[in-house]
Amino acid sequence: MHFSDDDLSKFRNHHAKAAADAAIERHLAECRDCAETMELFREVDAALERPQVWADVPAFLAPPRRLEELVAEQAAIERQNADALRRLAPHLKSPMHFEDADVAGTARFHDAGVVRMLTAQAAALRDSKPKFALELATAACLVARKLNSDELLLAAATRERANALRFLGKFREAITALDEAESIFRRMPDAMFDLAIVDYIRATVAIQFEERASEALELARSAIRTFREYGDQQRELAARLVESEAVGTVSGSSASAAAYEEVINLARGLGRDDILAHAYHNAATAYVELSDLDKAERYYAEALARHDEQGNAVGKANCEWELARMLVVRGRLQRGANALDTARRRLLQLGLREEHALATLDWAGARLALNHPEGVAAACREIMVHYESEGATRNARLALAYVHEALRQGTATPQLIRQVRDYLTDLPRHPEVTFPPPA
Amino acid sequence: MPNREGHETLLQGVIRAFGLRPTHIARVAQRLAGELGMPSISRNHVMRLSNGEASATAERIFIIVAAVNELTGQAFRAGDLFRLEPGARPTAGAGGTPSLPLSSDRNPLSRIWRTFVAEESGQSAEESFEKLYSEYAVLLRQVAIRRYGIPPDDAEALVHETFLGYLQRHTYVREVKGYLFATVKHRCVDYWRARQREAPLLPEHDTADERQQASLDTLERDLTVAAVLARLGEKCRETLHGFFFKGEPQDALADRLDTTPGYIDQLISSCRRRAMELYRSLTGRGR
Repeated sequence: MHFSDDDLSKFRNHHAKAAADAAIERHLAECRDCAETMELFREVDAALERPQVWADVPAFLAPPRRLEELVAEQAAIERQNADALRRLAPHLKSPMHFEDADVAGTARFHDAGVVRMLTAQAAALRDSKPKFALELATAACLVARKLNSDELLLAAATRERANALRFLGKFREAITALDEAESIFRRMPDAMFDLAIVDYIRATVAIQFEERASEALELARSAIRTFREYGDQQRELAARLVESEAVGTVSGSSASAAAYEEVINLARGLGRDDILAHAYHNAATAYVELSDLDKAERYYAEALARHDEQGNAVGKANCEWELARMLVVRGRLQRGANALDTARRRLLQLGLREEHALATLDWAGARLALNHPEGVAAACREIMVHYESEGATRNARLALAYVHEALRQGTATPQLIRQVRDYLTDLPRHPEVTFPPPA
Repeated sequence: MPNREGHETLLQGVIRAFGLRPTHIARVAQRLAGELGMPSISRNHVMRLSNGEASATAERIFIIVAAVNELTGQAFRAGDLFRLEPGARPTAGAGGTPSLPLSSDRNPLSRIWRTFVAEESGQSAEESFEKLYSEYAVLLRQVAIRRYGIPPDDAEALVHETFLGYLQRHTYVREVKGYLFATVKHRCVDYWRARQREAPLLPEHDTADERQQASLDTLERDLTVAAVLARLGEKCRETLHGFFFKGEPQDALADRLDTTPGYIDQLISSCRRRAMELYRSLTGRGR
């Protein structure tokens, strides 16, 4: 229970007259929240005694100048946005509707409002429909280029496109888009906040794709400082997630788990469920690496519930996949295989082809371990791998060819499947390395 | 007195806290209604409203709020005295908030763009932006002038540009206050960087001096309190000025304002509480 501002204000009045209310005084000694409020009262009271404060009041009483100009600008932007949304709404029902509309090629969609709305919609769908988000962001970039008037619109759309590409694992294209966005932002005033968002996305790419942990750590910490300065707690916590991951690569899983626990506490305290979902998810992965499977399972479950609540289909599908893998690790092969089958199908639906390939191999390994190879060959033939470099795609197909051949000959083993899986996991980071033929 | 459900209504709370009488509220409200050409209200209706036994139209809420503000010297808003139904929000016009269905999916898509309207504020986009500007423009200008030594006219332009920049980024800036303050700070630093030969020593150049830092923090705090005082009603300002600045005892204040010391005691507490609410809102600190 806390005391109200009214109680504390009255207490200040009386306290000034040395008639302290003992109950409030006792409470203040124990309650940080009320003590902080009392400190604010002291600050305000002290300021009220300073002549300069009262001398400054008239400046604040004068009506703000240039308000009309800004309100007109704001109204114009609101009108553009609302109008763009009305025109776009029928075409945002599905990717097919959107493709049919040919937004980028149709003159009536070529205005600033459309770029803003497409960029914002791409950001909103990034978690749940990453492929569609990429299409929207790409269209936003194309329209922004045609406008050729507002560099901020183009930079923001390009940055969002990089973000969508990151969600789809297309890291090289994401880096190219980030370079482009950054070069535009650097030409503009007030770019620090925008550049911090670019740094944050770069840090995630550096840690997810390139294993450049030190660089990721530096970028994440720089972004954290800026987000803190700009009061953006949500982005600050998101950058702390990346920092925790980078800490793991630099200092090990134990340090990473500790860093994630800190983010979990902060996010819980601030009621940031979106961040909490990712923090639990990543902490669970750290606990798997530390072989603390019970804790990992609990954390994946926490993450899954939150991803589900927030409609983050990608996060949810990844959690389901991890939980299914844990069933297999714990020796519950049949249940694990069933869960992996569901997870891999879901990943494919979401357009996460690399994840689908790995999950299918997980499932294949479980089926072979159960001595139930039926359907495995057909499922593995459906694996479509396409990496950003041609060499990586060729190498991946070569590795998979070993699986297909072994399955055809009936000699495939869970060990071979795991070997190919591990190889494919590392392939984006080392696209030039070829698969070593099994002994 | 609590209403039939056993809860005190917001209006009852204010009436109790300020020692008001429904008769007085009704009298002032009737005068205001007459002046403004709005429907009048009886004492009985005020009592039934305060007990939560009746509902009021927007116009009656308006005159009751105005009457209470006149009697107390506070700057209450409708939401401080009445629990407003969500439906009371103004409908979106051309500049308002569109809420178009964007998808036939079972799960509605998230709001894809953030307007300038806080969801719960019940204000139009325009009102909301005006409020934001009114709250921060002068404060930011004063910070630029006093903390960073920017000439007044340039400070005006600098703050204007900052707000323009925010308007262009409103779809992704989530913490408006933090964004505005940090951007003004960087613009001030850039201002002097571009005029290196005439640049004064900015706070950022000498952060090692803790005493100077503390005095700059006090400067910002004082400017914020001045902004708060400007937003309080005249009566509150006068009371706080008398009590805190001139050090007038409550008895003397009561004599001067022709009221009782008990009422002054209540007024000081309430005005200080309101000042705290505004201070918190401007600084983002505390509960």
